Amino acid sequence: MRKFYYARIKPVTCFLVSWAAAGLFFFGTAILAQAETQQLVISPDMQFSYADSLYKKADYATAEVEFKRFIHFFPGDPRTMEAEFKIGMALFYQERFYDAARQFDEIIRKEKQNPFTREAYFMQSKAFIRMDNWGYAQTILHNFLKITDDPDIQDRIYLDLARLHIQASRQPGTDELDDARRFLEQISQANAKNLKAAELAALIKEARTAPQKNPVLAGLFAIIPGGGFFYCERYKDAVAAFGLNAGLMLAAYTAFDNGNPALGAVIGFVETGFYSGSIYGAVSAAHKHNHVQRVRILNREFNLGTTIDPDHQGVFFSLNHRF
Amino acid sequence: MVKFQQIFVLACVLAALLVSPALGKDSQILSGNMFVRFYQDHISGADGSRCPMSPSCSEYAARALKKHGPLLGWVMACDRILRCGRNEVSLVPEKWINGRSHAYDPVSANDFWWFEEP
Repeated sequence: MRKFYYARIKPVTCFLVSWAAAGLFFFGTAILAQAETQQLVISPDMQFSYADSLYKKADYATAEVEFKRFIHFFPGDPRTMEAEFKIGMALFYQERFYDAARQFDEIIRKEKQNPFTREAYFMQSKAFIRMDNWGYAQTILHNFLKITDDPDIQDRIYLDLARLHIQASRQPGTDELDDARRFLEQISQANAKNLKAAELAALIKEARTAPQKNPVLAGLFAIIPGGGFFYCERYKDAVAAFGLNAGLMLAAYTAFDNGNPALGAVIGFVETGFYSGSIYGAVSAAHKHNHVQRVRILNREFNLGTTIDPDHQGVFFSLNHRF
Repeated sequence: MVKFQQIFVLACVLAALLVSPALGKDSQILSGNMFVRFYQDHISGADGSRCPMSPSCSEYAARALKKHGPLLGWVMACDRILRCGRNEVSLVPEKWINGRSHAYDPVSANDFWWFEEP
């Protein structure tokens, strides 16, 4: 049979052990409570204002991430659309125009009646302009024009379309100034002054009436080598064209005169190229002169920009002037 | 005045025009490009590139010939050689290549008034 031995514990020891256990329990609870009070709970306001502060500091890459975080954790917040829009703007400012256009497209598809959706149309158009896709930029504005009833927005669309056509007219061989004028004429009287429509119309008129060189006349003058270049105020080219053509003509004549028709024919053939080239160059110079004149005037275009006021849900109009 | 090399390019183009009827439509000889490439590889390469324009006159000739065929390409090449380094330099945009400023004058800047890019 096994015997069990029990150690005898003194009452004092028992008392001390009990107090130590109780102390440990209370200290542990206090430490845990302290840890819980130090835990940070991010509210929608905190997250949004942090993302917005990054956006205002032009740290667009980080702002984009933080706005995405805001949308992920607070999808029901009323500022979600603004966050979406600012993601698009952040992408735009990072010159990721394709991604920006896609982001603005998502905003447009999500909600129709929202100030940020309206701005998204304009910004998507601008993103396509920056990608040199003028056709898409115009299509977006035309689509927006079809669905909006707001006369102020319509006027802004007309202005942007006019500016698009003016910008397109800066490209060689493109003349869309009549289209630009047509859209400017559609801007309502109430907004015409604010949107500087009259200045743009005057600019178009000035570009249309700028002193031009007649390409046909330049070609006719070029029958005398260098005459066409002289007419187009290209005096060095005129001297070179006259000297070279005269020299080659004289060389061909001398070769024939000296009984060397083969050499005369070769020189004559080369001279034909230079003679044709000087006529072509004169006509081309007249066209280039006219284009340069137009671009010089159109580059003075008043550059009206629009942006969203993040604090007051309003729209800013900015006015820049290119010198 | 026109340099020997430029005359050589034109002589090459002329030769291309003379032999072109016997060749196919898409032949490099027909377009004159083979002769321009020969000039670029073996003459300009040894002599050094000094053309103040971009693309250089030989490259411009090659592109004009390829784009518009031997006749108009040749006329445009002659026009470019006439204009090379003179008034055009102060009228067209600047382009920096290997630390050197060049006057940017592509074929499209000289055919925009009659040719529409596809």
